[in-house]
Amino acid sequence: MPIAYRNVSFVYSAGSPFESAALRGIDCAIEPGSFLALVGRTGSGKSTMVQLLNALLVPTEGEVVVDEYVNSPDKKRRTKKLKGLRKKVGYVFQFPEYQLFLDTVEKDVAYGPKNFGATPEEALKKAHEALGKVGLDSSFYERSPFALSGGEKRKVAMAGILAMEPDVLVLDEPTAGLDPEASREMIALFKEINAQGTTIVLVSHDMDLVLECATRLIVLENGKIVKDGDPSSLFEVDLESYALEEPKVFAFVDALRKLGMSISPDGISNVETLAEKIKEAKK
Amino acid sequence: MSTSFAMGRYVPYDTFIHRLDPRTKILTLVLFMIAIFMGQATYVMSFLVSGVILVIALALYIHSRMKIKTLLKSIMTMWFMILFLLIVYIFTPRDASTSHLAFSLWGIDVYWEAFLDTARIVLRLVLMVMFSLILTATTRPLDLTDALEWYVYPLKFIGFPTHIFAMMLSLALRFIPTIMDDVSRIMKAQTSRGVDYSHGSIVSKIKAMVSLIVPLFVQALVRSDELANAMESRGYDPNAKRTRYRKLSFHLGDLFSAVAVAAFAALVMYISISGFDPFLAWGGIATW
Repeated sequence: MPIAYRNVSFVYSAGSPFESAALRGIDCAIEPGSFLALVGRTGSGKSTMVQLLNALLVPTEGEVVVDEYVNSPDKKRRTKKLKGLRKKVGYVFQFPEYQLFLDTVEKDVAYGPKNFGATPEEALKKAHEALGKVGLDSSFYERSPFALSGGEKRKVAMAGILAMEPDVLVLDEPTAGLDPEASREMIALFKEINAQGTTIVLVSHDMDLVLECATRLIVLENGKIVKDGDPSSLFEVDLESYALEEPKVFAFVDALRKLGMSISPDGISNVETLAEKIKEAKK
Repeated sequence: MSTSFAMGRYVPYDTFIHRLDPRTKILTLVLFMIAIFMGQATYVMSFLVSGVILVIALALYIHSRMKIKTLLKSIMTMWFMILFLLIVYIFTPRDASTSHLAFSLWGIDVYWEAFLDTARIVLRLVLMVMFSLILTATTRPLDLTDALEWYVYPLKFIGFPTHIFAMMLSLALRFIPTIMDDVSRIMKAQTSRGVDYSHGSIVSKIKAMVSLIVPLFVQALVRSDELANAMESRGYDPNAKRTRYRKLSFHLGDLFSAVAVAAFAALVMYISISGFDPFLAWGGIATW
């Protein structure tokens, strides 16, 4: 069963002078195994929408269903035991390095699996696997997470979520503040995880990242879904009115068109596919 | 849990109390505190005075548009202290000839006075909490520091660094909401990793707290470092003379409030010092 948002609204600090509506009537379904990107300007409700997914927030109206788990304001319909949901939906927060707190890298990564009932040995095994996935070898296991560089900390925090083996992975601005090389490694990792069947929900302002990875794109504006479709349809969206930046490869295609080359943006998602298209067009 | 963090947070309504000068509010708070903690001759008188203050506090509380629910919640969190106080008062030795025995349990004489003493101190603490909540909910933190700086200004002449004191205070206050945001963000992140902050035994709750406190401290240290650098790079000099953007102004309403509260506190003080008790004087419930 997929993830479903049913007429979901969310209001922050309801009933106080700080009241503000973040989501207004969201209706959508997310298929298992898909790679969904949520984009929109700051304050459009992206983070709120994904926080409803593992019941960190409870909707003011409507309900969010993930398999057998129901997140609803109605106490009778709501699922009481949320631990299973938290294991199913792994959430990588923006700047996840702030969640590190144990004295060695392997202990910190093993913390999540342990909380979800794994024995210490199992948890450690999962931790080592996850660290391998993010590209940190055994020389990191005994080091303190606080002595690592920013990019390495991010990888450790990512591994901490991957070690929980979630079915759905929520990524909130995963590449913010990373250098280009670290970003590329992260993107490769996300694609690999997705290929293994994990559903990914990506929240990002980085349109290049969205174009390269996502199979589906949702644009949020003022708490409502204003566009839902294929990422290559980004080309038709009036990106600027949603405070979004045009992906660099699309800007390149645009420039080539202006110079008189007949090239279509369909199927272009990164530099490699762009190069292919240019070769084709040249023939 | 996130709602209890908002307790006593400044809410920008526009009531008479909100408009008062923060200096007046601090002065009246101190006066009320004195009135609350003046000892009275008898229990009856003590509860009578506290009762009158409670009525005033409730009126001010409702006038400043705060929710009674918040107050009840904060009293709820005091249950452990109430129990502790009660135990202490039960084991306090009392003069059997003037005290009233309630019951004896396992050879321990429990006097009614133990319960009355506990009720008296709890009522006083509740009053103190109420007035403090009213102050912080109706006054901008920055105004509060300005007012405090004004009060400590005379100390400047004996070499006390009043400006640095005020700056420290305003920075500390300024960081409360930021740290609250950090708390909720880190809690959410750790909850996603399977930490349960609200259920389980005390031991597991304490263990869960470690996962919150360590990142919080790391974050706070990083922030303070960044702030110090940012201030220095903008040429901050703690000893320089500076002007201020906000000016405090004292109005007629302030004068009226200060005088009224001062008169009330004086009356309570007079009653306390003179040991006046109308019930005793008119032959009422003399022995309590």
